Amino acid sequence: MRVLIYLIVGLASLTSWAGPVWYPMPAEAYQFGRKYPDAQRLLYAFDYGHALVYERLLHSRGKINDAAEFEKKILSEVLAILKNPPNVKVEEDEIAPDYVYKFPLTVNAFDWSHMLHQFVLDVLATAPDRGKVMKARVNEIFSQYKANHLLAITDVCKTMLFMDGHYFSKAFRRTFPSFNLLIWSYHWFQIRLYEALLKPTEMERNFAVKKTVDDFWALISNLPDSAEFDMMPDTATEAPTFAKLFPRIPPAFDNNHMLHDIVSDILVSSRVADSDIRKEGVRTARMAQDPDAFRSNICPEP
Amino acid sequence: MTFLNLFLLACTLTGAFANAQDVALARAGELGCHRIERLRDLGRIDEGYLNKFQALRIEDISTGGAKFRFTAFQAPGLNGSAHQIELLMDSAGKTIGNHKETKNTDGVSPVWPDKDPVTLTESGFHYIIENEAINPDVRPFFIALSEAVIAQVQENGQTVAKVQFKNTQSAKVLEVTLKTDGTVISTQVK
Repeated sequence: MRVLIYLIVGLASLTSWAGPVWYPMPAEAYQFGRKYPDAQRLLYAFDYGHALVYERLLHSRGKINDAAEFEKKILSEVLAILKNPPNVKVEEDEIAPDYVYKFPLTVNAFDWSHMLHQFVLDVLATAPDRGKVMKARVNEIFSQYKANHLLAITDVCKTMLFMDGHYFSKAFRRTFPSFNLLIWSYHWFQIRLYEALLKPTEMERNFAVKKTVDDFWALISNLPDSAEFDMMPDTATEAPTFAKLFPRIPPAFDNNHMLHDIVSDILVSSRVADSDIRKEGVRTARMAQDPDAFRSNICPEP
Repeated sequence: MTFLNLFLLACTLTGAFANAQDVALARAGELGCHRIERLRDLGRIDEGYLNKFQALRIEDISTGGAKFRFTAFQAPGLNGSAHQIELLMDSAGKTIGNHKETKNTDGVSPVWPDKDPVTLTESGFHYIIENEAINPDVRPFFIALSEAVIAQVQENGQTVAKVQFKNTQSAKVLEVTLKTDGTVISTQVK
C-alpha cells in the first residue's frame, strides 16, 4: 500500500505543478458561478486566454514578422475561447508550461490574487444583505489573503510608473494594440462585477451582472474601436462603491492588473534578452509585492 | 412589473455609466498624451506625433459639449509652423473628437534614445498628479495647467529631458528633469 502511495505521489509530482492552496476553503467558494454562470465562465476563459497568449508570445519571441497578422490570429483563437468558455478553472501549467517555468513567482502571486478575486465575488453573490455581515466576511477573506506574505500582491497603491516606467514598458500595447484593449476589457469586466454586486437588491444585482456581461461583449465587439480605453481601467474609478466600502482591496487588484501588463511587455520587448526573462519576471513580481516599490502618494492609508 | 421594480431598474440604468468623474487640467493633459499614444498605436496618426512631439497646450473651453481642448505640437519647421493635433475632451477627460492640422513643413526633432517625448512628458504629469495634494507649489500646475514643453539637453555629461509646465494662476514654471528612460532626476518650481 505504501509503495502505491509513493508511486501515486511520485507520478503526480511529475505531471502537475503545485499552486498555492487556500485552506480552509471559504464556505462561499465558487457560489458566484452557481448564480451567475455566464460571468463565471468568462472569468475562467480570461485565465485560459491569458495563459495561452503568454505561452504563444514566449514561443514566438523574435520570430514575429507581421505583428498585425499574429495579433489577428491570436485574437481569433482567444475569441473562440471566450465564446465557448470552460466550465472550470483550467490549470495554467497544462496550457502554458513554459510560461509557468519562466514566471514562477508571478504565476503563484496571480493564482493567490485570483483566489481573492473569486472569493470576494462569491461572498458578494451570496451575502443576504449589503451590510455589516457581508463587509466583515469580505474583510476576513482579505485578511487571509494578506497573511500569505510570500505570495500576496501589496495593497499599497503604486504609481503608473510601476506599469509604464521600465525599459521594456509599453512594448505589448505598441505592438498588439487590439489585444491590449481586449486585456484591459478583461480588467474592466472583473472590477465592474464588484460594483454590480453591491446593488442593494437581488433583482438589481442580477440585472447589473447581466448588463456587465453584455457591456463586456459590446466592448470587444469591434476591437480596437469598440474599447475606448486610453489607460488601463482602475478599480476606484470603475467600482467606486466597492472602493469606498473596501478601500484596501482596489490597490491589490490594480497592482495585479498592472503586473499582467508588465508580463506582456517583458514577453514582447526586444530589449529584454531571452536569458533575462525569468530574472525580470521575479524582479517585477517582487516589486508588485513590495509596498514601498513605486509607492504612490494618492492612496488611502493602509 | 411593479412601480418599485421599474423605479429600481431606471436607477440601475442611469447609474451604469455614472462613474465618470470630472478631472483637473493636469489629468486631462495626461489623458491627452495617452490618447496620442493610442491613436499612433492604432495607426490613425503617424509616428511623428509621438517621436517629434515637443509641446502641448490644454485649455478649459466648456463649450459645445466639450470641456477641454488639448493641442499637441510637433517640433516646428524652419518657418516656425508645426504639425499639430487637437483633441476635444469631455469633463472626464475622454476624447470626443480629434482634428489633425498638417503644416507645409517638417520640423527637426532630437532623436530620443529610450522613451519617446510623449512618454517622458507623461512622467512629468505623473509627478504633478502624485504631488499636488502634498506640495502647495505643485498644486497650481494641477488645477490650472496651461502648457508643457519638452527639450533635450546635455547636463553633467548626460543627455536628459527637461519638461517645463506652465499654469494660468502664476508666472512660475515647474521644471521636471528626467533621464531619457523616464526616471525623474529632479524637479524645481521657479
